[in-house]
Amino acid sequence: MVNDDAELLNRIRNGATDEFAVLVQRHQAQVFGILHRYERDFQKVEDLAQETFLKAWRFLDRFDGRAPFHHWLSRIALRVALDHLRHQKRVRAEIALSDLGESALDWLQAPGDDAEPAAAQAAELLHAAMAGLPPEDRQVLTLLELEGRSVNEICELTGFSNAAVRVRAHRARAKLRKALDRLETKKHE
Amino acid sequence: MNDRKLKKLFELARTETPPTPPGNFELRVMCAVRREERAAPLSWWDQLGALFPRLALAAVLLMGACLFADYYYSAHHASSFAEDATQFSGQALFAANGDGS
Repeated sequence: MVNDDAELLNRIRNGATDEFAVLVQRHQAQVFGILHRYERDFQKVEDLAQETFLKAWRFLDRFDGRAPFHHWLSRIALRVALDHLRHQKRVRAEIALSDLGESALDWLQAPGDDAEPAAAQAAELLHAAMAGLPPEDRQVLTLLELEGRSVNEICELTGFSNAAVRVRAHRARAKLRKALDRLETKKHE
Repeated sequence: MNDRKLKKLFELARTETPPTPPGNFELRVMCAVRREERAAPLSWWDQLGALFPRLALAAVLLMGACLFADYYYSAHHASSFAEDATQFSGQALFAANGDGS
């Protein structure tokens, strides 16, 4: 098996189409990881991942090899995720409490930090609260806070300027806080 | 929602394990790739070939319309359409040669 992505890509470009499967196997976990931040339904994540690889296949000739292949693939996955967020017909205006874990809500509403929710519940809570954010703002906040990317990296991945990334992150954080505040008060009523 | 709690929420969510791709995922992608390859864009010659039945039908309809027009014209006028066309072209030709009889 060819270890180097560049060499593998050369072989694919020269007609070894089947070797694209090796590339998929090598990078599928990374793509699923990115897309899962924007979609919780596993079936949809799978569809989006397939779309990502299909786009990579279509535009393989445009990959110039200046950046590593996984960077280029990340950009495609982020574009697919953004399109998905934009095309979601029914954005939930109200967060359904029934969708969220009881312990996550209890933790949110408790004054202290005791009994932290599980990672999956925290992610679910954030996902629900972020549903009302504009897709671009949500993506910037996700990259910054959940993927731990730097502002410069986000600029490179999204094409936004440094100032735009900071403004979007600030705006998204404020909106997210408001959405979580609404959740906090909801249960007290 | 205080800053500390929001930060904690992000921290917890960051540690979530992403879903594992299904075992046959690469096969699914390759099937889609092959479907895409089969549906590759056609050459202009192929496109013309694909259009052939419609082009042939259009030509037949056009010929039918011409024949019908000729039949209709000759039934309602003393001379036929073809004769008039011959006469007209003859006149135009002779006029161009300076012999307009």
